[in-house]
Amino acid sequence: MKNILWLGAILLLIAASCKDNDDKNGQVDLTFKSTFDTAPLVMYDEQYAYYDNLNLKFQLFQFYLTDVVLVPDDATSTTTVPHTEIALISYKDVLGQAAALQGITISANKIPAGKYKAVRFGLGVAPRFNATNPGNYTPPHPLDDHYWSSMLGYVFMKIEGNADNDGDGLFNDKLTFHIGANSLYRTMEFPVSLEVKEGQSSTINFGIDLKRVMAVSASDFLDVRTVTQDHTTNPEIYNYLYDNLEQAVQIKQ
Amino acid sequence: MMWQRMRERWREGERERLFWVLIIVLWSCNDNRLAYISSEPTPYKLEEPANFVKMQIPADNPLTKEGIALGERLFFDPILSADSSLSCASCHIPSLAFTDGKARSVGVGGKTVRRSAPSLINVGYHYKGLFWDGRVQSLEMQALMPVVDHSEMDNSWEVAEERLRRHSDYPILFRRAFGIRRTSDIDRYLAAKALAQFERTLVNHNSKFDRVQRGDAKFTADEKRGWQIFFDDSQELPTSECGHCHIDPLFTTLGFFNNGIEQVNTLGDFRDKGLGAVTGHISDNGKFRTPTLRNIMLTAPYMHDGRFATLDEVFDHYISGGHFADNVNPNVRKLRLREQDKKDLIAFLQTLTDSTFVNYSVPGSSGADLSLQ
Ligand code: HEC
Ligand code: HEC
Repeated sequence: MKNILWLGAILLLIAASCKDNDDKNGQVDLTFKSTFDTAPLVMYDEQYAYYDNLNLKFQLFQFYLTDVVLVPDDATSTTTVPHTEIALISYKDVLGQAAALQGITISANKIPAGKYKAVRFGLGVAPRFNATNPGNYTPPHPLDDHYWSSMLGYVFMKIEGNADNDGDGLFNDKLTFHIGANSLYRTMEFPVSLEVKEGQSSTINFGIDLKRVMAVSASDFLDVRTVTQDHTTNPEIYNYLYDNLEQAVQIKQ
Repeated sequence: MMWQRMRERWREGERERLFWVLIIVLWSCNDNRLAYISSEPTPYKLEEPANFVKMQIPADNPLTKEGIALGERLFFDPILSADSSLSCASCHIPSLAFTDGKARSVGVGGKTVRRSAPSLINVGYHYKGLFWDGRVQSLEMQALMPVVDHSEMDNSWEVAEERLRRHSDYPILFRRAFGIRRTSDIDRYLAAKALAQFERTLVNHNSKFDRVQRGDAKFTADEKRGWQIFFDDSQELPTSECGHCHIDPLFTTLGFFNNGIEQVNTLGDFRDKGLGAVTGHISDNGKFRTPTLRNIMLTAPYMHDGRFATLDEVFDHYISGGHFADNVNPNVRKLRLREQDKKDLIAFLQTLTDSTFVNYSVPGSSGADLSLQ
């Protein structure tokens, strides 16, 4: 029995070191397109209808993902295939429709060929990274910025924009929401049917509706006339927004 | 053939004459003189503060003792300007944290530069682009520009290169720093490399704030209150929102923003478009790189055009929430700060003064040894 185990281990090692195996990789792109309701999310230029006849414009929307992995389509397998360790999905530079329709893509090109049944990631900065600071990184790196020193952690999500509360056409009401804390970190899993083929690339599309981040429904929304800011100070607001973010991320495959 | 003859003559006792000929040839040929000077630059290990992002140092321009010494010498030498009247240090004065105390810098012949000279403290960490508008990506590229900028040094590199080649010291210093073989190897790119090396050593992390962080000093009550307001750190105190853009340890995120100082009707109306002129995006008009607040007591007047003479004026601006424009960053908003809060904030900002480079202006302080070995 022991011998068979050894033989198995050796065969596995050989298989793993086998050069051919290395080449049997494909690329997997995960694309995150953001909208406000159904309209592509563009910074600055576009205005978006919110609830109660309010209109909004945005200057920044971004969030972190940690430990993006693919789950092989093999009931017995418990190991996952790493895709991206940490990523900042930022719409800061989405300044036109074309860029908005393109979305933000994170790619990995060493994904072993085969079938996968799920994509999994942590929404936010995982505690092990949240215990680090920009001093640990050489730019450019997703964690070289957005660190809030007095909170000893990263800002997982930022929304910055403007509202036109009095309807005069000037968007001079200022909105800033900077949210992050270990307790908000959570893992999400999306079922997919993905086949990675050697030397080819495949894409999985996600949509993130920023309106859904700010609102659940016409009767349950962040009232930007009274709440214009939260920097992870009021749990009612930051939990609301972060729970909503989780709901707003949808797979569109 | 020739070698054989030479060997014969050698044997025939012409050694001595040949020797002198050789010496004269070597001596008259300036270039070969360099071959006798050591060119093994000594690697220089920069002490990097643990909480700063790691400095990006290009692989083709590692820091060396000799490179830094050359850069320092060049930085303080007016040789690079058209009429030999201005050095880099004329506008980047060490005692003013490498600014010049002017709203807008004044170049050769009294011409006014369109912007204010920024501090060069921690400039090696400015990884999101250099200048107020981020138009240049590396210190090596940047260093090429002041020399030929008509409102700054107003020179040409051809002239500057020639002056360096003919100089009594520079060929040796370039040899030591970069191993050049001939004086004609001296060029703008090596000069820029040396300047960049020197600039990367201008690291400040020894202000009172840093010492408090390290546990080696304590804030006074005012400073502490100012610190808490600065970082929106206490539910009991008002917020100032400063920390969003002027975050420690660099006291800047290096991000580009419109902080609302300019009154415009539309985004097309900025006198100085800043980032917008570089990217071509109208929503970038009027955005400038967030400057560090380290040494802010030394770097008045303030903003890219030096429009505010004092920190009081700066605070009045931020407290008002600034002028409206579509792209004013929403972190710039009306503040509820009273006189005392302002005083405490200024007390805190005073703890960001670092005297490391304040008394330093003499080239050669990094130990450049000019003597031939
Ligand atoms: C006449 C005054 C003047 C002289 C001389 C001068 N500078 Fe400057 N420097 C400025 C001004 C003004 C700016 C900002 C210009 C802008 O943003 O468009 C600047 C910007 C810079 C920056 C960018 C800093 C940052 O953080 O973005 C560096 C680096 C710099 N100078 C280095 C030098 C060097 C090296 C020399 C000598 C070769 C030099 N300067 C000579 C006025 C001067
Ligand atoms: C939205 C980001 C942002 C916020 C918030 C912000 N600043 Fe600034 N700050 C900037 C930018 C950008 C500039 C340069 C603007 C220019 O020159 O056009 C600047 C310039 C300055 C300067 C001038 C520095 C120099 O070397 O000329 C001072 C001083 C300053 N800010 C202090 C503060 C203080 C104090 C606060 C809080 C009350 C604050 N800032 C809030 C972005 C910000």
